[in-house]
Amino acid sequence: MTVYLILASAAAIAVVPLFLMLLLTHREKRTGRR
Amino acid sequence: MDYLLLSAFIGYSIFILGVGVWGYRRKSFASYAVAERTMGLGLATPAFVATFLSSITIIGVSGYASLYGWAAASFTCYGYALGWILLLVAARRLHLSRLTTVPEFLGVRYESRALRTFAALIIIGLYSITLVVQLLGIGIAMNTLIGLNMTFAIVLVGVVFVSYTMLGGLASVIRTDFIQAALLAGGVILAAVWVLWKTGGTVITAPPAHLGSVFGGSVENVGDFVAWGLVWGLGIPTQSYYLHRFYASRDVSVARGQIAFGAIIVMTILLSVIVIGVGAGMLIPVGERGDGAFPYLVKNVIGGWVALPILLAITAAVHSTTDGLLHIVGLYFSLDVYEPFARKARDGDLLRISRRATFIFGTAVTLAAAYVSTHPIPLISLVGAIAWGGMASTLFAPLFFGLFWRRATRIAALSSAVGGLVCAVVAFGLKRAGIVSFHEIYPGVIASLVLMIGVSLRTSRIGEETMRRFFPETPRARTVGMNSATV
Repeated sequence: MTVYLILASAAAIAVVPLFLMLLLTHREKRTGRR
Repeated sequence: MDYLLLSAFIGYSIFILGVGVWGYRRKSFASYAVAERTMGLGLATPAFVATFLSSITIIGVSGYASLYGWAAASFTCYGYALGWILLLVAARRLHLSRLTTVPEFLGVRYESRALRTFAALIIIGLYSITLVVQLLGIGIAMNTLIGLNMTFAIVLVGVVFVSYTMLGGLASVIRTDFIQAALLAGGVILAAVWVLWKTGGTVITAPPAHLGSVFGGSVENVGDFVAWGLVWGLGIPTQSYYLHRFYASRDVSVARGQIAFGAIIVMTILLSVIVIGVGAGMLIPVGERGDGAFPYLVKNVIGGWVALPILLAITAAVHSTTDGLLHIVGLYFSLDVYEPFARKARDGDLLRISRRATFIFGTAVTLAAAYVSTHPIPLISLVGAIAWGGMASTLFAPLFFGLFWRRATRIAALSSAVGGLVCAVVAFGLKRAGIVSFHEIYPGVIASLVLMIGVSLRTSRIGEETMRRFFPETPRARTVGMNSATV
């Protein structure tokens, strides 16, 4: 069980940078920043 | 001596050298320094992956997992993720500055040539130490896998990576990284699949109790977990060999995308490395666990043809990190130490000086590693840790406050960099003497942050013209500011 939790949390944090990139790009497009 | 593995190793080295010679045909300094600022996502992402995964990651993390099991994930994964997030946050501003080196950014942002030279010398010094440690890592692996004399293996690897980095600069480095990322991912995932098959999946579903815990080794409790998260999280975004790639990126989406997509690939490979390590902990004798676990597993348990791609993966991990480090050392010496004192240096001069510096530093670290390999020095990994703590303590505050806080001043940046380094070095000495037990990055970074904020609020601001360049208030002003930047 512990190992499954480790794998799931590692997978979740690995995609945080991708979501952050999409969020920042979306915000810049909306506010007209380059 | 395993002649099959030796032949494969030599064949691979010749191929990688060929890529370096290809890069040599590109004569421009822009190609050497920042790959002509044309790096797309297809090259940038594998380059980030290959640079991130070093011999210390592959050998060290699998060794850690062979002793402490899945606690290796608590030790690495979460802190690495914090580092990627901070890198991603810095990507846009560094890319848009259109500068060439990290010390140059500090010099221009804080209007201080002294800070630029200081930062460059610190980076060159600390990376030289890291290079020696990385070369020792490959020496140990080659000795175990091929039966090659450790000193000879170090010299052989040194000749190859110094040659192609010196000849082709970043243009060659990112192209060899592309090949090396594929070899690295292929070899590591193959070994992980082999371990899963050999253990019937129990490495994940039912590992032995001592290998299946969240805590173990350096991470005994939640406090240690947070501590190591900060060590990696603050250390990673101050490493110039990642930050430098933002300058080489074609646009902002490439600068960010290499981290965003690279993070997913690195995490997959990292978890595979931990699977291998835990598997080694279950399959090899107790005495062989630790740093030598992965090479031992490959040589004595896996064996056969499967050992070949894994050997190439380990070699690729070393080349792809050492070339990025050496490129930074040579280039930063030329641009941030030589050029400010040799006014009006032309691109041709800078290219020549960069190549010479790359050759001299590369030869020096190879010889140093070869020398150290014949004189066993205990705690070599501790020497490597100086580079990590020293870099974060010196550069984290000046870099991130410089990027995001208008009020950060020149005197504050200088005191922050020097004060952070001094505190880190003193804490390292106290730790070695057994007086304190925490990582030197804490006093280093805390002193650096306090000095940055405290001194900034008491000293005069940076000139308005420089501020407009780094903090343009409107999209139009930003465009004008960036166009006037140096290339």
